[in-house]
Amino acid sequence: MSTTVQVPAGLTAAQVQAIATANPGLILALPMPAGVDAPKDVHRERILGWLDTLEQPVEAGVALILPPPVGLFLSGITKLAIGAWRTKLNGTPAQERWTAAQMAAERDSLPVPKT
Amino acid sequence: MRGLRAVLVAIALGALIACGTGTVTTSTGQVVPVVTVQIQDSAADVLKLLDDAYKSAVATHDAAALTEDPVVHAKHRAILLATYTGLRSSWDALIAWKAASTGAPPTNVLSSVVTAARDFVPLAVELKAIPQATADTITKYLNAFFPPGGAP
Repeated sequence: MSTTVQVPAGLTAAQVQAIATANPGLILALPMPAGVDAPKDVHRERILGWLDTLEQPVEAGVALILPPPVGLFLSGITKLAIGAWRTKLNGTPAQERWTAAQMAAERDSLPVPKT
Repeated sequence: MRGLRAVLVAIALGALIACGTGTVTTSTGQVVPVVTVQIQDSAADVLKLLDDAYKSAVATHDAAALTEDPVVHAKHRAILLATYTGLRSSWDALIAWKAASTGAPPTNVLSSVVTAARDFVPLAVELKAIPQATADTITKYLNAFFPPGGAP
């Protein structure tokens, strides 16, 4: 299984190399260009995983810690909020940022030096 | 490209274990693992960064045709032409990977341009096509996949 991580600008080349060597399968990626979001699909899957993990403990904690009427109310609100978030994330289509056509256009836009 | 801010560095490191799951139906119609698409996108980001630097460097280079030492100008032109060829080959490799969606790690994509890039990046800084920080970032990335002294 591969993992992608952005190369932090503050690391030296030796540090980056050490990370790559110590972590087979680690994919070192450049920082995202300014104004470009990280792929939503990866974040989406990660957040969905967190929601699955956190939902029950959060609901149970709210219900246990607070007095019954308030606890039950807030637990219900929490459940609704997490459910809405999950629905929204599930509805977000996974997508690629670079299509083959965009790549070809970028390749073909390269100029040859005139002089 | 602007340097990566410290906060983003922390977030990126914190997300070190993050891993894409699931699949994406790409523009080629293939169903590809998310992580593959992300790696392809990252490779395209690198090439785009080099493309932008290259275009800027070519413009500066051409504008200096009448004022620059002819020997230096010819040397720069040779570096730029090698970069042009390398970049096109790398885009071709990436597009082929996109079509096949199997194998072809980023090293295959970048191997065509890495040798030229080592000469080009300092030239791009000299021609003010990119700031030193961007050059350092590109160099780090290339060194991670192609350690200096090793075969590209």
